[in-house]
Amino acid sequence: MTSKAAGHGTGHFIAERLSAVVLLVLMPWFIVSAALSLDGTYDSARAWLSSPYTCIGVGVFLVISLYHMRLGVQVIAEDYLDNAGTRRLVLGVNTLITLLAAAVGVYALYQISFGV
Amino acid sequence: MAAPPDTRPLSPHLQVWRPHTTMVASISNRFAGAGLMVGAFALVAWLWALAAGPEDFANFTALLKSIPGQIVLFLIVAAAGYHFAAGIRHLVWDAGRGFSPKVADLTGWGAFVFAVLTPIAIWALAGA
Repeated sequence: MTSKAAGHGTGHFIAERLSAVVLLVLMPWFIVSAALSLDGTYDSARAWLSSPYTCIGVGVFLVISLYHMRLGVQVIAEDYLDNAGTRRLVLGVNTLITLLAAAVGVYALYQISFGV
Repeated sequence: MAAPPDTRPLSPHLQVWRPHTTMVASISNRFAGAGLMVGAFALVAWLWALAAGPEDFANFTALLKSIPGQIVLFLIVAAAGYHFAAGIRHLVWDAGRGFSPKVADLTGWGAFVFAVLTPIAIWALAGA
């Protein structure tokens, strides 16, 4: 086995597109809402995220973006890394970094909402 | 155990191609996606700074408001605009439409124009 996309292609294809469709809505919302609400001050950022809708929206946007990003980086790694060992290593690191970023981001949002 | 050598044929390498719209549009989408990684990590860092308190947030904001910070932010938003438009192109292709060279060239140019207009519009919106 060469641990390329063989055998997992359909699931990857669907997951990438499903997350793409969700991001087609969430990304414009995030950018426009941030542009309208934020002026660079601490207070404007706290006020923006004080709404649970915004806070959960940013969390969902971040997690689905990272999920989509992991799938995309996987494709790039599978396209260019010919060595099976290197590829496995990069795919593993890709998953770990994505999970770490999601954990840090969601923890920060939790702190912003419920922290003192 | 070592994997058997991969003997499958390679697609033609970049240097034998004369650049054309759909090719540049395709490569740009991969670059935009990879560039958006910076955006995702920047969002995590921004949230972390915000959770850490006013002082840390002020430091991070100063970074974002500096000239290099603004250039990076501008490019991230442009990449987001491009990836958005190119993503729609891909979803339309997945539905089996838009493959004729004329239409594919046109939508490719459309994605580039959209990528340039997105950060301009967002900066105008933020400044208003």
